[in-house]
Amino acid sequence: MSAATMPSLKRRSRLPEIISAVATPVISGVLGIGAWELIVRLMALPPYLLPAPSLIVQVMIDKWALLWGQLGYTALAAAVGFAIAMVLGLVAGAGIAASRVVDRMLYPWLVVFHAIPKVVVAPLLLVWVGFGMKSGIIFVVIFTFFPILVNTVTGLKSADPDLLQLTRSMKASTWKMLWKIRMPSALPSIMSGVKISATMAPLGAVIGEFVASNKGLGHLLIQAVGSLEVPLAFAAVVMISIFGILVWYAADLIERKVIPWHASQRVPTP
Amino acid sequence: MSAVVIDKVTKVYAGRDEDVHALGPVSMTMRRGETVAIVGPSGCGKSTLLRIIAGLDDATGGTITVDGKRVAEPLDNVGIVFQRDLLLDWRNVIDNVLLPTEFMANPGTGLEQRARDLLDQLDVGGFAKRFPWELSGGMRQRVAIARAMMCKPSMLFLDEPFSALDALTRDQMGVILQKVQAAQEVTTLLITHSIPEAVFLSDRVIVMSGRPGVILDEIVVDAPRPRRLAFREDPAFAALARRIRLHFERTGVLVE
Repeated sequence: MSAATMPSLKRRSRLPEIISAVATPVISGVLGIGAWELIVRLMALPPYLLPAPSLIVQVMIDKWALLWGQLGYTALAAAVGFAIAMVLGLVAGAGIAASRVVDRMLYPWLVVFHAIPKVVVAPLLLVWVGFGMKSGIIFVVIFTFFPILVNTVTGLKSADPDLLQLTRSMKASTWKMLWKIRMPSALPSIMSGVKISATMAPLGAVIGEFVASNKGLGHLLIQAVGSLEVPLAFAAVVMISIFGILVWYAADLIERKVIPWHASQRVPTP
Repeated sequence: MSAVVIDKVTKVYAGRDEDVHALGPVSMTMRRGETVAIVGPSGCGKSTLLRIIAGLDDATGGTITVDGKRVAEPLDNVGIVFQRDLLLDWRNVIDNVLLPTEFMANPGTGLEQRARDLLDQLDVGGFAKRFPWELSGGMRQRVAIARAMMCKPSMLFLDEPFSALDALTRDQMGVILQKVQAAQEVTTLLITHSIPEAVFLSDRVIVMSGRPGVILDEIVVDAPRPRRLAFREDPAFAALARRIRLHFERTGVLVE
């Protein structure tokens, strides 16, 4: 048998599907924003209560340099914190999955730590590490570490037992079994954790900036609300949201590149 | 000299309320190059016995020796094919076949060529760069056989390898397996539920009872190799299949 005799594996064009996927939310978004603009204008709501979308856009244009600079600061804190959380989550997850002693020693305490409301910790960070980016980074780590850890542990522990037995019969060492079998098997689960965490990273950075920073979009947001510059606060929120969406799509793209073989990434066949 | 000697092997699983006696005592031998099929009802411990022989599970009692050495750890030089092909989705076909060589201390040279030759022999040579999810069940199982044969094993263990396939593909797989066995002398242990498959593929059929599985009969299949599909219509084939069926009828495994 040859590949030539097999039923065609030609891929269907995804263009109509992509257009539909993009156009539908754009239309609903435009309708929603239009309704918002209309309500503000018809009811003559003051900007400090609810600014019109057009005003928010105007503020974003006028204060672009300020917003862009603050976004850079927040993005840096989110990226550094997320990278640290990823390393910690993967290493701790591998350790917990590999060793029952490490599992029993660490896992229950990590669950307890995770159960503590994170916002409560924020003022303490101010006391422990002071003002600045460090607080934001630590807050991002706290926010994003756990999903990566849990998904890494779950993924590594869910490797097919028959597959592991087969590789044992091939005399695979523990290390090679981890690297060649367990880790790739765990990648879909790990990537789910990474995606969840990636979207939480900007949120963690912003909350960190609320309490322990004099820079960043979180700090700008608090300041703008304090001085009743509500359109600027909304502009900051828009920037945070756009950043969050971009992070989500970046994580999604990385997932596609890392696990193109997984069922969730395959193009549906007609 | 026998390649494999199984002496009074038993397996008991510790249960919550009471222990489960799954297997034995079972005693049997396999000669070098022989194909032995074990046929028996579900839960009779056939697969457990295979895993114990391969060194992947411990026996509760008894001993197994392979080439005079007592089995205490996973055997060297054995290829295994399970019911599920267990191909790695993240590797293409050729890389799946090459997998066992990556765990060897000295895998040698010409590995990729050997993998390609095996795939050609199994009639899936044109799919070397495809991924497992692009293949049919029968093709996947052929790749699994190629992977099992990659390191030139002296023993091939097949644990219900064709049971998930449709009837026609199963027949074809039986023919293909004989081709592989003809190309390289390999002692083969086939675990199956199928009486026709056991008779068609083996030199000897071991008939096992329900749990705890013990040997009811050993039947020699004295027919030349390679066997053609028409062998199934031979009166000798029917007589052997009938003899096995009667064991299952007598023990209540098959009831009309």
